[in-house]
Amino acid sequence: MASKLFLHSCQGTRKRSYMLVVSLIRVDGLLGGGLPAGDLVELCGPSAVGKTQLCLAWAAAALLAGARVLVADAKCEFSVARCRRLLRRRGRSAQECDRLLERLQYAQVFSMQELLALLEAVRSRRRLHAGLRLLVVDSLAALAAPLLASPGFIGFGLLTDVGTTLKSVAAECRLTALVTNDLVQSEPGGGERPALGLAWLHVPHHRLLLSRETSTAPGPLAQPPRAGPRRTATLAKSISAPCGTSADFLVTGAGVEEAPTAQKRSAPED
Amino acid sequence: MTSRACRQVAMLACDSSPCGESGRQLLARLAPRPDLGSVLTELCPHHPVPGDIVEISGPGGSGKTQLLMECVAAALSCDSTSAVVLLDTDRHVRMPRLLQLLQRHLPSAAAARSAASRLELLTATSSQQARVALEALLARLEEHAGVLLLAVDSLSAFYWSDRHALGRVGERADAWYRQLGQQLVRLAGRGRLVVVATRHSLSAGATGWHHMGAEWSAAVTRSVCLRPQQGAVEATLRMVARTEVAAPPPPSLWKRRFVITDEGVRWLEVLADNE
Repeated sequence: MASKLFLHSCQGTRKRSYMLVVSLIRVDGLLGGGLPAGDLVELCGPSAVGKTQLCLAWAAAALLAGARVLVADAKCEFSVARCRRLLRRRGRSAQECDRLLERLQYAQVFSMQELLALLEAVRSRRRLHAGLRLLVVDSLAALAAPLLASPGFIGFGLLTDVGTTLKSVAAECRLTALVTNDLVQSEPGGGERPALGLAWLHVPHHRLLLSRETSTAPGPLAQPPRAGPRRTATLAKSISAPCGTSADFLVTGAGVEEAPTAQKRSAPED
Repeated sequence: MTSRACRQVAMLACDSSPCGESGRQLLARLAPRPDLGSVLTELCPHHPVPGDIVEISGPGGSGKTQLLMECVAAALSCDSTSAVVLLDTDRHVRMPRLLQLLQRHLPSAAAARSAASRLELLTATSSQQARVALEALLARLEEHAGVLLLAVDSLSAFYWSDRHALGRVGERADAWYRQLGQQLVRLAGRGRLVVVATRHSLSAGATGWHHMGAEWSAAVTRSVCLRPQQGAVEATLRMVARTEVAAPPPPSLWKRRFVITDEGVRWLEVLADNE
């Protein structure tokens, strides 16, 4: 059965704006002050660059703001224990942390169909999920990539369904949908691009590309350059903020922190 | 999508032209339309007329939705009575941004809000919903021809989902989207409005393949291809001269660059003209 058709005029949509702030002023500033409600935000970057850490930071910030958080974990890398440590570092007592974590719902998903079922449950039981302001999918690439080579366009079809449903849920529930994705080589010798192909490229409202610095200090012979803690988030796509801007932050044992000497760089002018 | 739903929408989509029209429908169809005129001059250097179909295509993030919203804002500003219908399948349209663009055309915030109230926003989460909405719009326009512009963002939002749901045989998906194209062509013609639609790049490289079919490609009078390049976007416009328009033949190829600013689209230099 076709789902309901929504028909409303411009004046009828008076929804209060809601931004989730991670307390990294420069990273929050890339999207206009935090994660915008009603939008789908993609964190894209190579392995171990800090995508999950940034998701943890935003989840902790949402809990501290009194919101509910739903995490769909496909890689079993989202550590609720680490989230609790982040809350403790923000000065919350053990009892307060336990109370805050009551508002974090954690679900393991192992297929695109399970993810779709979870999203449909959120949409159909909005009262149960009242106060839900952040929905994290970590990682969409882990769920979708194995299906993209399947015959019959099942992978592309499910990816489109997930994208449509994520944006619908984000708009209807006034939450931010945050998904992580990998980077792949676009062509031999060419640059990197977000994984999941052309079918996904246009879907997110905003895309943050994360990259890491490589240590330039000479090390022992035959040792690869060590990656430092500094990361750069670049706004590659946005429906509301200027693209090309970037901001630095640090990923440390304590979580994500402001980079001490980072400068917010703007896109080159024409 | 169930096969029953497919059949129901297919029946709606069939060209069931009535053998005649009522006097009221005739008067509504022949009533003078506001001139989009100087509106959209950057995008369409020769004035679009009712029945024109403008297609904006390009990769993700190239500015298709921003350009579409510029068209919507311009159409709402050119006349104080005409309405604009926006079919949003991508959920990239934002009302605060539209209000900001309207304030660039109109003298006050109150005038911008008044203009925005003439926008009818249709949201669809599947191609079946989109087609039902378009069919309902066509039926309404045959009675009350008050819509100046139909904006669709985008034509390809559900393509892969439909391709998967309609089975392994690509011909069924092709037929489905051919019928969607026919619906839009009927709306442009019988509804006497301008259609502006965006389309994502569904295949890498310039293969010439169009998921809406050859009939739609032939019906498009202005095709705008966007290509991000060095901090700006290069727009290539191809126009098809319509024999019923009594005007000098427009240039067939036109290239300009633009950037998207807080105030909206800012056009830069002309790269090529009259090629």
